[in-house]
Formats: sequence, structure tokens, C-alpha cells
Amino acid sequence: MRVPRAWLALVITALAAGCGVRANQRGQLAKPKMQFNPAPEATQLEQHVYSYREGSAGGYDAGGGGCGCN
Amino acid sequence: MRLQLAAACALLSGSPAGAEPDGDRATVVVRTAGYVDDDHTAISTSLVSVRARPVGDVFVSARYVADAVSSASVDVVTAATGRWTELRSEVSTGVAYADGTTSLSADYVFSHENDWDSHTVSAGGSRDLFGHNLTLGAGASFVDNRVGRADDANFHERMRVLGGALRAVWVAGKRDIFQGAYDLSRASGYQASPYRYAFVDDPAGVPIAFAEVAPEQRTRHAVTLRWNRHLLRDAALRSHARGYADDWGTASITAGTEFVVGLAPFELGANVRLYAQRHAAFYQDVYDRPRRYMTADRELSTFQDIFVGVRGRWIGESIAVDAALTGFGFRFPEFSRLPERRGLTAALGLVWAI
Repeated sequence: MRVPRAWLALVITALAAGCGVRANQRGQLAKPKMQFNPAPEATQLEQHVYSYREGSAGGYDAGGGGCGCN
Repeated sequence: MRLQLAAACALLSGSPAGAEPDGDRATVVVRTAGYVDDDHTAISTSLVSVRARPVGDVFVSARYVADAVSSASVDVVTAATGRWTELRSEVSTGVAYADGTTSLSADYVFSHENDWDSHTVSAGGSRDLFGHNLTLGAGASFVDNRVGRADDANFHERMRVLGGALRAVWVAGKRDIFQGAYDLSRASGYQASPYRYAFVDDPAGVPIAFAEVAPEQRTRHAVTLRWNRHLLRDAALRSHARGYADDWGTASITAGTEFVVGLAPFELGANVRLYAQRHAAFYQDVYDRPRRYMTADRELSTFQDIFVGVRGRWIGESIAVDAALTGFGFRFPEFSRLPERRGLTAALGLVWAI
């Protein structure tokens, strides 16, 4: 078990450190359209449609309660 | 009625770009959306949300959602009942801490309808590492559902869902950002529908209807990869793919992309999403003989669907207004009572930063 964990840590470190982007290089990344969930309420309503029309669930940062029937 | 088995996983977007908060003292969101399909079902949804920053790096939120559903779908016709309408109400509240490097959140959701009550609690956290180039997050949730049946005071069932989520966001360059996610949930309890009937073939004539029976345990896995790439002067391509599998034998793949371009003060987008699913192991359109588990849920059959949409947003100094229109189509090759379904969704939203 130790070897895979060590490799995983090494890969993550290499990826994060070797490809680092400094704060002054993040102008484009900081735009709302580059965020994964820029409008949480709209995402919730969209994911609700998928959740009651498909047999799968999870993976898209949206949840809720209840049946959302038929 | 159809069961929603999704656990409400903690919000772990963890974007290094700073998706939350937006820097204002408070933000009010009002949204309305409509759904209509050719299976005689219409849904109207309204949402009001308030997010505020009472002190420092602490944020609080509250939200109300109402769904009005009217349906005379093939399920309703098969059950020999008439068109029905019902209202679902959902209230939620949350508290979060976000200092730019570390985030913590806790949320509670209560949902009510005439035959279904649901309580959800969730919590999560994330931490930026390596100069904000990598964000790792984790969360957990618990949902307690109490299931009833309209006009039957003696029908009481429960279904609980325990879920967990892991997230990693990686800034891969000046224009590229990736997110990987793994969601796991375990549902225990009643997971059929008290209104639906599965059919068993009768060689002598008309198929015989049996009440649905589904397994009482379901473990679900979802792995998602998302990639946002900045293009041109002010545009982005936002893509995603998801693989899903559960121990009922259901498996699916989802893939989609959205192109968004900024033409200040407007923002325009177009998107497409594809979905393909393999049936649950115990699903049959018409059963050859009575089985231990039987379902008439077409969402457990093999099917494919496509969603294609456009959206636009006007962004003012403190107010933004957006609208979206999406068309969709489903193909159910294993559900003879509804081989296809088509429809539209429309949404209108207002965001007011105070």
C-alpha cells in the first residue's frame, strides 16, 4: 500500500508545483464563466430535471431534498 | 411518484477563481423555470435565495423552492387514475466559512409534499494547496425520507441515504482548470413507487399487474471530470464527462459541453448534453413470470437522451438578468408504453447584489 500512496503524492506534488500559475497570471481564470458552478441556484434547478428523469445521480455539486415527483 | 435517490452532497466547488463569495454584503436570487413534455407532464418551479455576509469570512444563506407538478403521464394512465397536481415545497439554510484558502460549510434542507417528507443535513470543507493551484475537498450528507401514499393514511415507509464526496480542482495553466470528483451514496429502505405497477405476461391474454418491488439497498458511484478552457478574448468552453454505476446493475455515461462568450454587457452561451444508460439487472418491460424484484420505472431501463440549449445574460452594475431555453429528447427502446419523449425547459433568473 505504501508504494501507490507515495506515487500518488509524488504525482500530485509534481503536477501542482511544476505547472503552478501565479496570482498575477489568473486574470482569465478569475472570470465567472471559468468557474465550475457560477450560478448555484440555476445549477440546482437544472440538476433537479436530470435527477428525476434519469437513473443516475451525483457528481455535479447539486443536491436537494424530496421526491421531485413523476 | 418517482423516487429521487440522490444524496445531497456538500457543495465543494472549491474553485480557485473564487466562486464564493462575490464580495458583496448580500445577494438575492429569484428564479423561475418551466418544464413541459409530450408525456402530458408540466412542472413550474420558483426559487428565492438570499446569501449574506454578516461578519468577516462567515456567510449565511436561506432558500425557498416550490414545484407545481401536473401530470397525466403514461404512468398515470397505466395506473387507471386521472390527471393529478401537487405542490412540493423546499426550504434550506446554510452557514459557511471561506477565507480564500480554507472553506467549511454546513447545510440543512427540508422538503415537503403531500406524500413525501425529506430532511437533509450536509457538511463539507476544502483547502487550497500549492499556491492555490490545487484544491482538495470532502463532504458528507445524510437524507431521511418519509414516504407516504395519497389517500392512504396507513402507508408509511422510510428511505435513508448516506453520501460522501471527494473533490479536487487543479489549475493546469493560465487558461485551463480541471475538476475531478467522486461521489458515493448508500440508500436503505423503500425504493419502489406505491403508484406504479409492473406487468407479468399472461399467455392466456392481458398481462397481469403487480405492485413494484425494488431492492432495499442501493450503492451508487459517480466519477466526474470537468474541464474549463478560456478561449479568445472573453470566451470559455466548459466541458464535462461522468461515469456512473450502482449495484442494481444500472450504469451510464454523461458528456456535455457549453460555449460561453462575453459581449459586454451581455453573455451568450450554447450547450449540448448527451446521456446513455444501461438498465438495472432486474428491469423488464413485461416480465415473463413474477420475480422477486419488479419495476415499471423507465428511468431504470436502457435509454438515451439529449439536451440542447441556449442561454443569455445581461450583467449590470448590481443586477444581472438571465434566460435559458432548452429542448430535449429521450429514446426508450425497452419501454414499449413510451418509446420516445420530447419537451422543452425554460428558465428566467434575476440576481441582485446589495
